[in-house]
Amino acid sequence: MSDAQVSGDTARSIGGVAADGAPGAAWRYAAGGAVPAMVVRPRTTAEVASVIAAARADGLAVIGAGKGARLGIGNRPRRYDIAVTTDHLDAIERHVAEDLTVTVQAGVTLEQLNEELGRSGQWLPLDPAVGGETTIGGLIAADACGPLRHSHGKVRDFLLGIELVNGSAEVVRGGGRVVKNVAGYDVPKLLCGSFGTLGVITSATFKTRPRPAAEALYLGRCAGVAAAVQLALAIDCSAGAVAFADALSEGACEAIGIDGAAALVVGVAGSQAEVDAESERLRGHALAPCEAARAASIAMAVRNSALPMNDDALVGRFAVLPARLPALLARVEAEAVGRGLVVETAAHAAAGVARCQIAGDGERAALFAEWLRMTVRVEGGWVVYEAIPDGLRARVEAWGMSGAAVRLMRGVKRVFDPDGIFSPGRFVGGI
Amino acid sequence: MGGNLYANPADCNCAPPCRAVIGERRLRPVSSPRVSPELIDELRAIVGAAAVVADEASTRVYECDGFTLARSAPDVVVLPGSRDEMVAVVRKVAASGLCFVPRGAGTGLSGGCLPLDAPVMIGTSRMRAIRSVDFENRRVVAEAGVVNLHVTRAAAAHGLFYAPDPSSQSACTIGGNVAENSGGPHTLKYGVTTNHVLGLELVLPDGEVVELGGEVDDVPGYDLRGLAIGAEGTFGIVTAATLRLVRTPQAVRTLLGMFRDVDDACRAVSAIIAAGILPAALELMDRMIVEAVEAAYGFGFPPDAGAVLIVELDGLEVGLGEQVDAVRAICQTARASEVRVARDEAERAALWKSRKRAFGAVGRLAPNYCTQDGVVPRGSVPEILRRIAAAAERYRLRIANVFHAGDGNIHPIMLFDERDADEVSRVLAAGKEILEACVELGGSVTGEHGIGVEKIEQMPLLFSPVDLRVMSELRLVFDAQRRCNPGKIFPTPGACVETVKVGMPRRQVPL
Repeated sequence: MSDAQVSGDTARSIGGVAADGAPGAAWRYAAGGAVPAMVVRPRTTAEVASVIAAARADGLAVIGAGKGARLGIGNRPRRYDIAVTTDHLDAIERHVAEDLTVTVQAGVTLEQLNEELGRSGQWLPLDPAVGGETTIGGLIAADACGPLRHSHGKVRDFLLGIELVNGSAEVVRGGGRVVKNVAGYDVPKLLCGSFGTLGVITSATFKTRPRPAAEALYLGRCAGVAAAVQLALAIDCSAGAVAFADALSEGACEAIGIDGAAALVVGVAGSQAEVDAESERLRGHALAPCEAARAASIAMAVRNSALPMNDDALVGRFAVLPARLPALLARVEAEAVGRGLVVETAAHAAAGVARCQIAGDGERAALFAEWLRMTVRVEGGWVVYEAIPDGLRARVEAWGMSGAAVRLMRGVKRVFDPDGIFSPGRFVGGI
Repeated sequence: MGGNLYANPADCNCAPPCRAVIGERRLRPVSSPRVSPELIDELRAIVGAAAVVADEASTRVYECDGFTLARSAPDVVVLPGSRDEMVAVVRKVAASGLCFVPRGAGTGLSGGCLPLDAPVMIGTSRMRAIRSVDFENRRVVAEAGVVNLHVTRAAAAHGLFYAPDPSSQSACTIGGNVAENSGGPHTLKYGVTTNHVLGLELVLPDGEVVELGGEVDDVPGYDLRGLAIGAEGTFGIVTAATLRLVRTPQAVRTLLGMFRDVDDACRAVSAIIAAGILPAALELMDRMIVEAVEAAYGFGFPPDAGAVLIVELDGLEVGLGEQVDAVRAICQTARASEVRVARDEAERAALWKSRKRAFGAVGRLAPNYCTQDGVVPRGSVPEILRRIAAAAERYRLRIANVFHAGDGNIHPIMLFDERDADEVSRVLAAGKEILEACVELGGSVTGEHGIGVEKIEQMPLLFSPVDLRVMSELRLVFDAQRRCNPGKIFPTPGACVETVKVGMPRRQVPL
């Protein structure tokens, strides 16, 4: 449903790269409700550059795409002609095990990367939801992370270097390939959470970590999600060997096969001795160990609790100071009930991050979304609506970001993409 | 490309000729605009007379940072005491059209706060308030002039600490740490400044105040916080930062491995990482450093140690014994002559004092020293040490090594006497060669000291003209007129930078 003006010639190839003519190919790369006119799959960084050069010359809008898992995040682009996929940029270029670094092309998936790193007892400890495969480019562009952010941090804490093709079809590199490096500006940081607005990411270097020797999972049943978060705070997850602590409301629990109003799921990782020691501490807080047979599936379900439950779900994610989260979540639930809406919540409790899935009448949901944004703002956080049903796109803006910093962000955008060919309108402040 | 190094100031072809000299790098055009007496009065009216330094004898204190090879005194130093005073000062300077340079404690090691084309220096040393402390959420909001160690002191009673710990942590400030993205010995496990700063309050060069990041992580939009950290003060002046505190580990064990030579010690480093152990710190000192430290502090290192490896392990008490045994075994396999474990907190503190004051101890060996900073992949540490030794021999210099082996972050300390012009130029040449070797081995020309004025020449080794142009344009987003800390980081055509003048008084690098 693009308003693209793609000529007959361009439709078959662009910049010397053939377009994917398979019926339905374009739908997979829909972004914010817009579908591209063509899909191209360059084989090299140089081919990416020639596609961008041609698109720029023709005034066409481009989004760099991995497998399409997170293209739905963001506002509907003003224009979207070409999905440039990283499917063929699929090489793990260099894993220097003794240096705990890896350089990888953007189209490699996180699973592939971690499989390779696992051979040396290492991993990239990021665990975003796996509703679709997550490529490295998508991981960075969407700043995707999961429960492990509590103990390991986010993409930006691991990304050492970046290579991308900018809006002038130039190859730009930032950062480097070593674990410590302060030469020049930290350009890699800018790409984290840039949602395809600065260029097409082609390659990245990360620091890796040793995989923990032992892991265990603990479950606690709670009266409500606010109580579950409160329990996580009481445990003091910053001490000990807690890898993550996620609170789930009733609907999310159901998906895992836990009955009850809410649960706290705590992951522990470290040496066997550390994990055993944590066991004692967590049992003291009335958490029960999860039998080994179910642990893997529960851990995966917790990770995937971030995904929209269905196509009609409006999903808002926000972070506040952890200690403020229980009271805030209690208010959110009460407000939703009062408005005749259903809210299901999954929270990275110790990190103060929550995702609320709002279901119910569209108009009410839109008003509630506004209320939630205001309420969270007062608490110092920002709500990003990661999933917006098509019917609500006109009413709900994805980012809700304003302020002096947005002007600077527009300046950053111009540096990388002077003609505005990348994902126009999808991002913060109309970027 | 600029940043040409000259052995003799007369070789400078700039028109107008440059004024200040590294060794012989010329810095500030003689014709650069000066601060008017009226402006000085107006600045006094904002911050009070005591907070404006304008007489020549006093401004000389500010002529360099820890990189003493380059010097250039500002016309005036202004020390605002609050954000509001800072905004008023920056606006006033903006109205005058003059350039300015931000300064924290002046402990930087690459000339980052050297006033090049900037006649006005704005210091943050009076902005020392810790605005808020939230132990429950492990956050501190500290003004730019707060000393790094004071943050940890404020938090220690609550079982928390601020992780980045540069060797200068008892003097350096949070604002300076943000500008340089400072590291320290414990970055191997805990990361550097950018991993611990959530938000910044930044005064742009026109006086506008912007918040970058915030008190929480997930702020939508580009990570301008991340871009500003490590920007070496070229975006404006950071007046406050929201810092993340880390839980003090339940237990710590510090091991000392004594080795015959650095090669054996490096083998131990690689084996420790390969074993999946992630120490809090993994530091190496070579023979010259060990001797100097021993002479200065008498810690009790064996006199014949060719290399000493410090391995610090932390975490839960229950898991540490196992790790200590593993590290001990690895060191012994790598032919350590002795492995000691610090008996108690006092011994551990004494050890770290020795390590962090190693630079000071080196001061006993020569009138001057220059600490280089480069990074190589961990596996290439033995190779870079060989090249450093070769450079020392070829240039007839003494070079000592004390460095973050776990990060591949080398710190060759080059000893010299600045009264000896020939030796100064050999120091410069050897430093250049070592940095080029770092790049050749796949590393970087700076791991934590920054580019400043010192390493401008090396930027093109790491970055293409496109990369450099993109970075220069990013700077213009924040500072369209390049008025904040001009002449740093990026090569500019036609500008020379120079080294120390023969016969200048000796200065110690601050700890």
